Amino acid sequence: MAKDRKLVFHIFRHNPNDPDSKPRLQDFSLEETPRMTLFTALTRIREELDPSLQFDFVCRSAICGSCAMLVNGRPRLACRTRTAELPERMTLLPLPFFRLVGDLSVDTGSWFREVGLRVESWIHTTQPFDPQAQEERMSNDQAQLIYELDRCIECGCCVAACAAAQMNSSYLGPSGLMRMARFLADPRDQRTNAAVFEVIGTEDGVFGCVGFLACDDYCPKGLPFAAQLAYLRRKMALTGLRPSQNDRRAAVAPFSAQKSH
Amino acid sequence: MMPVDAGSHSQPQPRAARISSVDSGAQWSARAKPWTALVRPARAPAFLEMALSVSGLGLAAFMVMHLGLLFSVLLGTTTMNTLAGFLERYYLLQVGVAFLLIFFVSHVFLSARKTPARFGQQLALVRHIRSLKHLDTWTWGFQIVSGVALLAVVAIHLWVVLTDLPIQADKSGARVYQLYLWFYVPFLVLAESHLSIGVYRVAVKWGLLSRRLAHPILLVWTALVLSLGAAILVTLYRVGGRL
Repeated sequence: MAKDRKLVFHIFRHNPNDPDSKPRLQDFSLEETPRMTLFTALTRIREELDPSLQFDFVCRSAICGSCAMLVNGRPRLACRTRTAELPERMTLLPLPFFRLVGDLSVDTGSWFREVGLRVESWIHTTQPFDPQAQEERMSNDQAQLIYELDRCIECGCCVAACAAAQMNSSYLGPSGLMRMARFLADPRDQRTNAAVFEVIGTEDGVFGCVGFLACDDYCPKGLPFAAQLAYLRRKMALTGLRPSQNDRRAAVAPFSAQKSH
Repeated sequence: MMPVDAGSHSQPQPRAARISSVDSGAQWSARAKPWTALVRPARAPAFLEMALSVSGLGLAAFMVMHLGLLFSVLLGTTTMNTLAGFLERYYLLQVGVAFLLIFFVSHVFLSARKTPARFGQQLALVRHIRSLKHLDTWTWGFQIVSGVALLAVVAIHLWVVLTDLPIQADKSGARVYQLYLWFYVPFLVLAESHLSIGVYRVAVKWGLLSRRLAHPILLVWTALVLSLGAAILVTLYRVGGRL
């Protein structure tokens, strides 16, 4: 790291709840310190320069997914971005697509909840639950795959990087499709491919994906978006063309139908 | 689309029986979401998605064949004339043009589905491309622009060539030598880059190739086709110059 860098942050400021607030960029200057991350820089700005600056963080270690923002136009997690990787002057903007809470803080939670409901992000099964019985075993590879697809921290970087999402606000988004892939990989979920097609076989689902693969490039957790989106596209295309031909799963009513029985 | 309570299942639902005979998936969705009993499952998006890729690959194959036929001029004008005469005598040219038009028109309509139509979407796309500076996103913006340009350029090219049959090396050479060089140079670059980017996207979208493999393959391919196209244009220019 070059010594004695003076960093200049152009930070987006706006409070949508204040009618007098106008969106603008405000400049803050800080001396760079060793191993400084954007998170430490923002905290120092808030403590030393402007206590009204809004931004989100919880875990500071890239697990909670709260601190995603556009750093020089690209979505990143503030807590795992070192200022040493960045030029002296940088622009910090809130993630696009999501509802702005204020300054750098956006509401990703409401959107992710809605997406979770849309893909019915839980296991659909007719198996009666016996709390005394041992869990059914699954192979190690199977468990690893499910874990791999389940590592999403819902930071919203993939959605912010996705041009299809910027053009279509009802698009399920890379993370929504990844949720579906996770349940397709799960042998306990008995939904048929045709049932899955009902959810993601639309132009707001997997066929809304254009294949920019910015999700794959900007996911801070390195989830395998390219491979999974291609897998879903192939599977859903085949299901769409021959719905009854490639269903390896047993037919089962979804949760929303079961509960009224 | 939020999950909804299916309501009472005791009441018979109109046409549900017909749907349930289609397949198990439609059966549960008719129960879960009663409105699906009234509409057939929308399978069109799957078909359209595949048709877009297939029409693009078909046009790419056509262009490779086209370049391959034009390659004959490098072997001499008589070779090209014989080949063109053969294609016309056995109606292969006419069949080729019909094939091209069908694929071309369907490709235009199928890709228009993906293209942002409203100004707000276009603005969002341009801002996004400029902010993100991401290669694969940028190339898609280029696909839209080059696609629209090709719509005009291909129409002109087809009109000029097909209203002046039979195809002969001397006529093509004269065209390139006189006016059309500055038409064909950008045409070649536009068509080839549109093709390469399109084939690349088909490959990564459907998972036929990993991106690490697709990048170098497509680069080599593009260089090859561009140099072949340039060689053909230079030869035709010389043929035209000799007249």
